Order: sequence, then structure tokens, then C-alpha cells
Amino acid sequence: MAAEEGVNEMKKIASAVVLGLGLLLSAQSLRAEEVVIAAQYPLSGPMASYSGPFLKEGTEIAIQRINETKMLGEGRTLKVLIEDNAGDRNQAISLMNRFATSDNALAVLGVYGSYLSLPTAPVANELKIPFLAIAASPAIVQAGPWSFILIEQPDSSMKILAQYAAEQLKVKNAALVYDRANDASVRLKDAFAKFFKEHGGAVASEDGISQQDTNFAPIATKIASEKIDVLYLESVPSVAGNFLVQVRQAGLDPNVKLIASGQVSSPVFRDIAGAAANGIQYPADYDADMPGVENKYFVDAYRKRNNKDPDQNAAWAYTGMLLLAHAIHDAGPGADRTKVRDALAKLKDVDTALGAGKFSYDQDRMPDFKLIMLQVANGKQELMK
Amino acid sequence: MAFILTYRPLFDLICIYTVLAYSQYVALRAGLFSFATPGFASIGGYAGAILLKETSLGPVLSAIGAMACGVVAGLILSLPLARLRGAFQSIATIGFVQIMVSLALYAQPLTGGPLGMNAIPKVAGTAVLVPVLIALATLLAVVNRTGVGRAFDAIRQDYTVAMSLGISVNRYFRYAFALSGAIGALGGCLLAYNTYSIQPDVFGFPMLVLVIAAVILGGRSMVAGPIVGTAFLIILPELIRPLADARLLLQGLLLILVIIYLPQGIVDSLNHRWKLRRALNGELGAEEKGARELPSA
Amino acid sequence: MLAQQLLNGLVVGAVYALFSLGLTLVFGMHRILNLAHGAVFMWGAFIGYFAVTLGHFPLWAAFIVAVIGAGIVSVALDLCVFRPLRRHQGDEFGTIVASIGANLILMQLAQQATNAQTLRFPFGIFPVIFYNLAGVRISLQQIVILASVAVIVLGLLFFLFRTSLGSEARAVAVNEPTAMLLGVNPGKVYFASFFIAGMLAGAAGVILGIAFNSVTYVMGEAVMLQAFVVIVLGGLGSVVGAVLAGVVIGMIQTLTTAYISTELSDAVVFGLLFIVLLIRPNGFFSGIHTEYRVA
Repeated sequence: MAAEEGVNEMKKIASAVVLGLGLLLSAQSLRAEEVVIAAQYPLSGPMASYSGPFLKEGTEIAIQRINETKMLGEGRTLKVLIEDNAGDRNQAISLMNRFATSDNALAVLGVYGSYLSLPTAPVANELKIPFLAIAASPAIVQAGPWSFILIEQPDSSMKILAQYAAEQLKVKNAALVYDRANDASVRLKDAFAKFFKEHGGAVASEDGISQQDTNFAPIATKIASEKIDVLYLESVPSVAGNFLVQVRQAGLDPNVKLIASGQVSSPVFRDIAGAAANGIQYPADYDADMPGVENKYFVDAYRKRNNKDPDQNAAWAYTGMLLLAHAIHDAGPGADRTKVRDALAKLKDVDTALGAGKFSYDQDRMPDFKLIMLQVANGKQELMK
Repeated sequence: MAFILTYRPLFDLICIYTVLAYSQYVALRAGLFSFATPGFASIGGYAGAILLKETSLGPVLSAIGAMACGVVAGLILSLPLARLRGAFQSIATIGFVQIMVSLALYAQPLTGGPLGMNAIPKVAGTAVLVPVLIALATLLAVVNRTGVGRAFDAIRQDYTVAMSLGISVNRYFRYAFALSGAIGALGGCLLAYNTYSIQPDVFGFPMLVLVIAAVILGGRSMVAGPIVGTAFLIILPELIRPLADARLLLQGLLLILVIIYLPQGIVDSLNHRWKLRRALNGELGAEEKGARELPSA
Repeated sequence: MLAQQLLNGLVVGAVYALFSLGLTLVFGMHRILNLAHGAVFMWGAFIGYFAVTLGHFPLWAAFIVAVIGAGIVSVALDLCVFRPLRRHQGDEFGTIVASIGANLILMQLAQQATNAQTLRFPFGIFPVIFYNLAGVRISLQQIVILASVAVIVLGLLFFLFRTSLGSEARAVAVNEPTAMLLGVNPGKVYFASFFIAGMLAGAAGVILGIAFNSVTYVMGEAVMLQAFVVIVLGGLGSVVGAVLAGVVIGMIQTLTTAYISTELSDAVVFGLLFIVLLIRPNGFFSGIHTEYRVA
């Protein structure tokens, strides 16, 4: 039996060799090509509670979508390596090196947030590997031609929010609360203050809180005693939720309007804040009810897996994967990292899960996907008209 | 080749953290209960980065400037702490680390606040780190053989005895703080010069735990101890990535087991055993036998 | 607003005091600086949380379960970490290092158990009722916190100074070998002191977890740092000192945050630590009430 099989095997190989010799050139283009992309997220460590697992899920749904619809082009399949950087920048840097040098990845997605992405971006540029950071800091793009950002920079969302506050809510006097140890949060707060003042608003106070804080009584008491008509809140979802509970307990005037950055568009925020969250309004990158084709597929797949709606983290990762897939498609078969980078920079009007419109990079490689305004009512997040 | 490229950042990291571990090592060797190394590293990292980016001093002079800042910080810290003992030093130095994190966050115009310092030129690659580390290890090995090193040993083993021998404990504590400050600042500076960017909480609790674990694990007496300890702690989670989730658990378990069952650390214990065997084989001269007792006790 | 902020400071300070008492007790009696005390506090909060959410206990019962549970965690810490270290003639430095290790283990376990999520006690577990006292808004919660802390501290003083085990404990604090010669069973004393320290930390954990609407695996770290300053200011080993210093630190921290800057509150509190160490390393309250010191 075994010998017979061996002979058969030999015959097969022989015929394959003959065929192969004849078809060598055309076989080259028809051969199934496996494209490798690498992703790294904080799957453990302090950031994991609100980021890593959701990012991973978004990525997995994207892989499924990309391979089902042959988004990379005929005969090309996508393989994604997902690794854990533990929210640690040293691990992020060492993973970036591994992806570029021994895993032969065509591009890297992830790292998550400016804190981790800023130190990683120069490494990606040194290694000459396309790096799409799930972060908003323009400094990442400025690190070199190989690094990109996925999230709109602070200016665009805060411009919308400040204008909304001044013109729709007609508020004049704001108290600002932000995460003092987070660069992105400080930038958002500064951008909001700038645009709010341009619209004739005034800033009554600015208070930095930190992610380790739980005792917000001193600041909450102070803000409750201020003559303000709007409170701007910017921190990670769990901290923002907790702050809101404590500032309400400290006796904040119920007529004070609440606005926030898109960070609070997370179920974690609504869970921690409970009834205190009602009425808060914010611009956001993502809402599960947006009608786009990609978003519909994404939301359906996510609900099937988890029995709940996806958050913006999952949508970011899903979108990031789609963008890289489009770039790899545009770069053509057998593309190298340079071609993928060039194609990524040229992406225009890609249908993704994010925002209200299509995703494009402008001439400065800054992302653009119309943001949407959301609010919390009766403990649920809803799209504002 | 790919292997070397992949693991070079890891190797660089081991070199840098060994320098930081040496800062901790000097403190422990002198009998200080100090955990101030991350604070010194923060001072060195920011001073080095600012000098390099804002002045035309160049990397070498900037690094020396950073070390000078570390010495000053060490001496200031020694004012209240050199005359205190034990737990007070631990509490105060942990507080010092926390103050440095807060100040780095607060002094935004100088330090960049939470954003930290970015786009720092990479002037300390492997080719710089290795010679620096070798020079530092050699220097410490030499210091260990001088009167200062022997005084450190005496104080660590029993400071009341050391005082009765006429050793000024406070003075040697000041030396140890200054030296630990200089080396810690050098380590922080190298970190800034190698990884393009530094942020305030890089110099926080995780660094404190890593350097203390490295010295305890490797050994507090021989110069090779911190190298072995650091390499082990940094390579281990990379080798067993599935276990990376439990990295802190492993670190904690190792700390407890080593301090209970192997309090001299890996290198010192091996060295002790080896010397003992040689002594039993009669290869040691009489006076060396006497000297054997010192570094291992 | 000043009166309101002083009340905020008093409440948080009272909880700091509760937490610091355990730390200072174990140090005063056994010369053990237990850096895992913050992790015991955190586990107390977790046990209380799980007793409420999984065990469906009423709050008072969950509180008792958490306090006893944290006491057991603390005793386990002594049995698994400090006792083997004593057996192997570990020194004071060894205990500090071992407690850092224990802290890492306890924190990582909590992180795994909760997937690093921020948890909170169910809303309405404590009735939200506010009273107006001479222009100061005070909640029922704040009143209950202050009252419980007062009762617990008085209970501790009663134990230390009015019971035989308490006197044995104080004897160990003064001189352990002599106390043993006089027939004190050291095992019993270590058990009692670690159990009490754990109970105090557990009580503080549940109270802070409810009051600040947040239970996370990192919650022990921040309190631990404040407690360092409290025990140095109060004098290591001093019960009354820890209580007074806890309240002082709570107020200083609150007022700095409210009137100066949130960024600087840590630096101010720790700056104070260095000033105390420079001018009065034995703490400010060690002079008064020396009879109420365990060591």
C-alpha cells in the first residue's frame, strides 16, 4: 500500500514538474499569494479593559470580510498576525521590529493610542514598513512617510463640538475637565478651548484628572459651585463616567449642559455613569446605526458573535484592516512595502465603518471621514438629528 | 541576520536596563533601602534629551550634563535620607519617584508634559551601549576593591559594627546616593538616546520593580549579578509569549522565592558555591579563605 | 465652598487613616513594611463587590464578608511570604522586597479575574440622601463613613489597650524576644496583627469602592502612596498619629486639588513627606499620646 502510494506520488510530482516547466511564467501570476499583515494591540495591561479585546474582534471580522469578498484581488488571501503589546511601549517597539524583520509583514496596524504610537512611529520609518496607527496625533504622521493615522486629528472633532455648543446649545461659560496625563486628551481640550473662544465662549476653569484618580470630590465640589452653563469632559470612558456620577452628587445644576469628546461613546461609559450620563452630547467617529454597506456587514457580524453592538474600538480596527486591504489591492499583485505605502497615501472615498461619509487621506496624509454627533438619552446612545 | 535584527532592540534594552540596575545595585550594596533609581533616570532622561535637542553640546557632553544632574539629585536626596535608616529610606525614595513623575507631567514647557519628549535623535545604538556598559561594569568592579567598596560592604552587613570601626555611615550613604544618582541618570539618558522618546510614566513603578527584581535576582555583590538578572527578566517574557500575560505574576513569584530561598541572588550564590568547592579542594591560600566570607555574607 | 471642601477632606482622610492604621500597626509591631497592604485593600473591595453582585448579599453582610475576607488575605500573606522569610533569617530589606513581589501577584490575579475592567457597586446600594447643615451639603453616606471609621478606631484602641491579646501584641512590639521569654505565643500575635491589619484595609476598600463609585485592580496603589505620608507624618507605629495624620493628609490633598492645582497635589503631599523627614523623622504626633503607641 505504502509503496503504491509512493509510486503514485512520484508520478504526480513528475507530471507536475513537466507541467510546471511549461507554465512557469503564467503560473507565477496565478499562484495563490498569501499577504501577511501584522497587528498589535494592548490585549493585556492597563489599557486592555477598554481597547485590546474589542480591537481584536474588529480585526477578525475584517479578515473574514476581506477574504470572503476577495478584496485583495483574485488569488490573494489575507493572513493577519495579532500580537499583544501589553500597553507597554518597549514591547510595542520590539514587536514592530519583529513584524518588519522576521515575520515579513507587508504593513502593521494598531499599537493603539498616541502614547504607544508616538514612540513606535520612528521605528516603523527606520524599518521602512507601512504603519497605520489607531491614533489621532498628527506628530505620528510627521515622524516620516511610512506612518499614518486612522483617527481624525483633534482639531476637526473639536471644531464641530465648539460650534455646536456655541450655536445650538447657546452656552457661554465652560468648565473643562480632561485627562492631564494623556497627550491626546490635552490636545482635544486645548483645541476645544480655542474654537469655543473663537465662537465667543469663555472658559471658567480647567481641571486635569488622571486615570488613577477615583476621588473626584474636590474638583466636583468646585465645579458645582462655579457659574457655568456647560461642562466639557474628556477622559477614558470609565473615568469620565465616574467623574460624571460624582459631579452630579456634588450638586451640579441640572441645567448645565454636558458635552464630551468621542471617547465616551463606549458602553463602558454608560455602564459606569448610569443615569448620570443622560443628556451628554458628543461628536463621534462611530455609531452602529449608520447605514453604510461596510458598517452594516460589520455590525451584523459583530452582533452574531457577541450579541451586542460594536464600540468604536472594534470599528477602528475593522476600518484599519479595510484601508490596508484596499491599499494592498491597489498596489497590485506581489506588491512590496513601498508600493503599499504609496497606495495607502492615495486612498480616496473608501467605504468603511467609520463616520458618516467615505474615508480619504488628504494631501498631508490626514484622515477625513465626516464625524457624527451622538447623545445619551434614557441610558442609550443615539444619533442626533 | 533576521534574528539579530529582530532582537537587537531587546539587546539594547537589556544594556540600558542593566545600567539602571547598576544604579540600584550601588544603593543596595551600600546598605541603602533606596528605590530612587527611576527618579534619577527621569532626571537624567529629561536633562539629557533637553540638552541634546536645545543646545549644541552634542551627545557626550549632554550625557555628562545629565549625570551631573543625577549627582546633584542624589546629594539633595541624601540630606534627609543619609541619617535615616531602613523603611524610612524606602518610603521616602518611593515618594521621590512619584514626585518626579508628577513634576515631569506638570513642567510641560520643559518636559512636554504627558506628551513627553519626542523625536530625540538616536545617538546611542548598540555600538555605544555595549562599550558604556563594559566601562561602567569595570568601574564598579574597581570601586568594589577600593576602600569605598569595602566600607559599603561593612555598612551593608551591620552598620552598628561599621560605625564602631570608625566608618562614617552618613558620609558613605551620601557617596552611595551620589553614585546611584549618576548611574541612574546615565541609564535614563541612554534610554532617551535609544528609544526616540520618553514620557513621564516610563520612569514609574514598573521600572522600579524591574530594576529591583533584576538586582535581587542576579545578586547584590558581584558586578555580573545585575547583568544576569536584567537579561533574564527581559528575555523571559519574550521567550514564552503565551505567558507574557502573567509577566507580573512571574516577576512577583520570582522576587518572593529568590529573596526567601536564594537571598544572595543567582550569580553570588554560584560564585559562593564555586569558591567553597575550591576551598575544600585546598586550592585557596589561607588569606584568601578569610576574604571569602565578606562578599557573600 | 471651603467648608464643603474641608468635609470632603475629612471623609477621604478618615478612610486614609483606616487604611494606614493596618500598615503602621504591622510595621510598629513586627518591623515589616508591607507594600502589599494596598493589594489587600483592593481585594477587600473586590470581595465586597462580588458578595453583592454574585452572592446577592445585602450591603452590611457584604461589608462583613469583605472585612473578614481581607483579613484572611492578609494572614495568608504572612503565612506564605513573611513567615518563610523569617524562618530563613530574612532581614528588614528582604521583607520589603518580598512584599513588592506579593503586591504584584495579588494585583495581577485581580486583573485577570476582572479582565482589567473598572467595576462599580450597583447604583442605589447606598441611599443617596443629602442634608443641609449650615450651608454644607452632607450626604448620609459621608455621615455613615465618618461614624464607621470612628467606631472601628475605638474598637482597635480597645483591643490594643484593654484586652490580654492586645497587651501581648504591645509586648511583642516593644521587644519580641523578651515577650516570647515571658510566654507570649508569637504565632498568635502575628496572626492577630495581620488579621486586624487586613480587616482595616478591607473596610477601607469597600468604603472607598462605594464612595468613589469605582473598584479596579489598581485602586490600592494611589492609597498606598498617600498612606506612606500618613504613617511617616503620624510616626511609624502610632495609632493616634495615623488617625490624625490621615485626616491632615486628606484635607491637604483636597484643598490643594481644589484651590491650587490637581497636577501639583501629589508633589505637595510628597514634598511634605520630605520636610517631615528632614525636620522630624519620627513624625509629628509621636510626642503626644505616647501611651497610645504600639511601639
